[in-house]
Amino acid sequence: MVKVRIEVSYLDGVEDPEALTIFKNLSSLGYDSVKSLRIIRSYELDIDSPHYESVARDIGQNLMINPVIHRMKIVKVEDVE
Amino acid sequence: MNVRTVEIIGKSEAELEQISEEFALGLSISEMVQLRRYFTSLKRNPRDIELQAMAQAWSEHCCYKSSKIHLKRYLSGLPKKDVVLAMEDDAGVLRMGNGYVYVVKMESHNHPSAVEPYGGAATGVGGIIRDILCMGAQPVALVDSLSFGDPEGPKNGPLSQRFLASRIVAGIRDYGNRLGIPTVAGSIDFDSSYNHNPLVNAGCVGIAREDSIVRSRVSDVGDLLILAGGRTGRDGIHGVTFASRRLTADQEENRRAVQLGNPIVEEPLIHAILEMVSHHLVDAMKDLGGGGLSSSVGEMCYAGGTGAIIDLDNVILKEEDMAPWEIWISESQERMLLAVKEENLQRIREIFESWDVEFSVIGRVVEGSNLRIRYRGTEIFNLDLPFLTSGPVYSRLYLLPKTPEREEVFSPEPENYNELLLRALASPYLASRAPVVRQYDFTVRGNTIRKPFNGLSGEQTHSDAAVIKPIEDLDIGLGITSDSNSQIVAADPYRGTLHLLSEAYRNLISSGVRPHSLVDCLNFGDPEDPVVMGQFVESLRATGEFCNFFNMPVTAGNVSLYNGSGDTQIKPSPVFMMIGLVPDVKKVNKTAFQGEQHSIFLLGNDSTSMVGSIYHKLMNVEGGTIDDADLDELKKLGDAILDITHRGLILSIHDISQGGLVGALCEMAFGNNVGFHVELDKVAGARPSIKLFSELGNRFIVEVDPSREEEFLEHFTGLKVTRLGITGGDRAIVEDGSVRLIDIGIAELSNVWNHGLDRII
Repeated sequence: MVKVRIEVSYLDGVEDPEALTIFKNLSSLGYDSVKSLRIIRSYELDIDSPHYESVARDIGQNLMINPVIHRMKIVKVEDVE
Repeated sequence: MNVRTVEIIGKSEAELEQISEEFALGLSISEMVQLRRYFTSLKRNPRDIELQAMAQAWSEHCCYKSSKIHLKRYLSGLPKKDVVLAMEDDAGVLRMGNGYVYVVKMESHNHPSAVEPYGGAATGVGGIIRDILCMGAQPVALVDSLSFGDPEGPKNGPLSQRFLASRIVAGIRDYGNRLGIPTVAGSIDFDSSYNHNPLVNAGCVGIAREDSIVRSRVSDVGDLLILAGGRTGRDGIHGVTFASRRLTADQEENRRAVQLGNPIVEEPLIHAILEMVSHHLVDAMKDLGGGGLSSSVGEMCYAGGTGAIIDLDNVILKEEDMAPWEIWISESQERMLLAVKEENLQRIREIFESWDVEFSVIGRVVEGSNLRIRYRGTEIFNLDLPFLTSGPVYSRLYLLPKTPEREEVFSPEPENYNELLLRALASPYLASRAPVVRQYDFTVRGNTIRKPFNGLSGEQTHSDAAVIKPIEDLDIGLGITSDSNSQIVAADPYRGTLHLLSEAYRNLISSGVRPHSLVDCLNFGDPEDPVVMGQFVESLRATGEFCNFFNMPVTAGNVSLYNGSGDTQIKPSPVFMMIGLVPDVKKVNKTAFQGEQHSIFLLGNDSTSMVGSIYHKLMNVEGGTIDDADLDELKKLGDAILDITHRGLILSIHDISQGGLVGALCEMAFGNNVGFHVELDKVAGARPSIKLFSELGNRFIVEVDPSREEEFLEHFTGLKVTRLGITGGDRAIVEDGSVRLIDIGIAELSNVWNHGLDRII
């Protein structure tokens, strides 16, 4: 079995209101050194299949992202017992 | 300086077409020729920003060029009872008593939602709230009518139908909930014609004092123009030209029109603006929607008979390197345009700063009719507003649908009515809307009296309409409903629209609310198709006739055309938001049965027409004709029901619509888990399926205390009243003659009904 992480983030040019709000609040709290902030959602799945990558890709494409605004990255985290 | 002059003088038609395409203007050859003529008379070629502004102003979305002529014909001469403003400014305004007005509007956001469902739906909500706000009103309630594709249908590009539906709902939820404005009513429709073009129609109601209404027109020369709220970016460029043609598969092109919406910017903007309005600091106001600054500044000045000079350098930008034309037509969200007196600027500055809202003075109102724009010390735009804003008007070819001979289409009777009822209740057309509506906060602000659900906690059933009490110290309530039914409108655009309007009317009546005004949101296919135009014209004719009959104004509306994809057109989908008034919110009705051994009556003439019914859908039957709508009966029934509501004679009431008689009985039973035993001998219809599942006609089911039956019946002299049976027990029992058609536990029925949408949302 493999632990797989699906990371979903916005494409460049798509404005993420949540990230903007946090970023703005950080600067009003005095964290002036923070120059940008992105939010990346990640899902970790334990997949029991040698084709774990295509399973994860399929799940991501069907349920998690809209390719018009999102990009998706699939990362193998580790083998699990 | 990033401004191009575009040579159109002396160009051939083919070259003009190429220019329209190159700049993504979406203008036709004849429109380009009109532009050539105009600029030839000015003896100069246009700059790119001027061409882009023309394209916005002349798009279907902004100037209603295909629909205007018909809207004028059927809706302009309507009654004006209690109207302060109807079809004039950004929203309708109606008197509700004691110096208060309610402000109402509904708009579509279909194309953006097809490409990016979450952002499209969210910004639809944000936009409709600003339409109410710009009249100086406090937004108090939201509604949403949604039309989704077939849940089992093919993907729309990369997006599954399930993804589309659930993300649209999520977008509405997040925007409304984060702003703290309750989403109280709406409708959900499913049909395969929406597979590639779901419909998202968002409506909003606001409250104001009549003397503090702000107009969308500026006539005071010297006023400053202020742009406030969100910054201007590249997002949403060409949204309106995008909405004025059919969707394409080009993802790259679609992306530019996508925005996610930022409720955290809109929320303080609402507070700041309402504070200014309460101090009478604002002369005119408009929200920025389709066409961005270009449309808002142009329309605001044109309507007031003034001109303007704009300094484009003063617009606060998200990205520094934007071209002037991009700044001018950007549709970035959460922005408002205000016209104010210079002497009020200091106070306005203080209010915006106290709410942490960004703003800048971008120009000034001047005499004359020209709009001029300066950028980096040079004038880059000078157009005559009447020419820019009035736009072309088309009388497109339309083909009226033939009125078919009356035709009954009979479907086979099912072997087992229990099974069929379970299937109907579990189907997406009829299933409980709780998985959607429960995501919306419908009680925030604490004004929602009749919520979308009523009955025991955990057992609740649908209400016919929502009732809110928007004013703290008055008992007046506003009833709100929003309805669509593309099946019957597709079968017969004229009669179907009358039935749909009757359904909205019945929803308010059964809630105990007197219908007062109407807002239309007309979603149709490609206006260049004469069949589609025919549907549009017939539907409008019905709307005009209905409103004249009931002395009801149409106060605002929206037309969305070009809905479809490839060769598929959506079914004609007018959506109607109807608002009613009730003098005392304590006297509104419930839909859930209130107790055992109470009498159940059916009010209204039966209809045997099965067109567009859930029964036909489940049995895969098509065709048939629709009966005429009986408005006279509806009026009499409505008056009588309101009268007995006032006298407290109604324990519960529900109108019959989708799911027919048995569907309505079940919904009444679910609320408090009270069963029923009814007898259909006296209900018209040659077959049990017709008696059980016919959806048309002006019919209501009423639960009455047996000791007050006589008093109840007196009010319906001359109208058809049928005794159906009694409430009680924990089963749904329906008999016809000596045959027991249905005998099944309420718990089993409500279980499938409650979980019908689980696989979709």
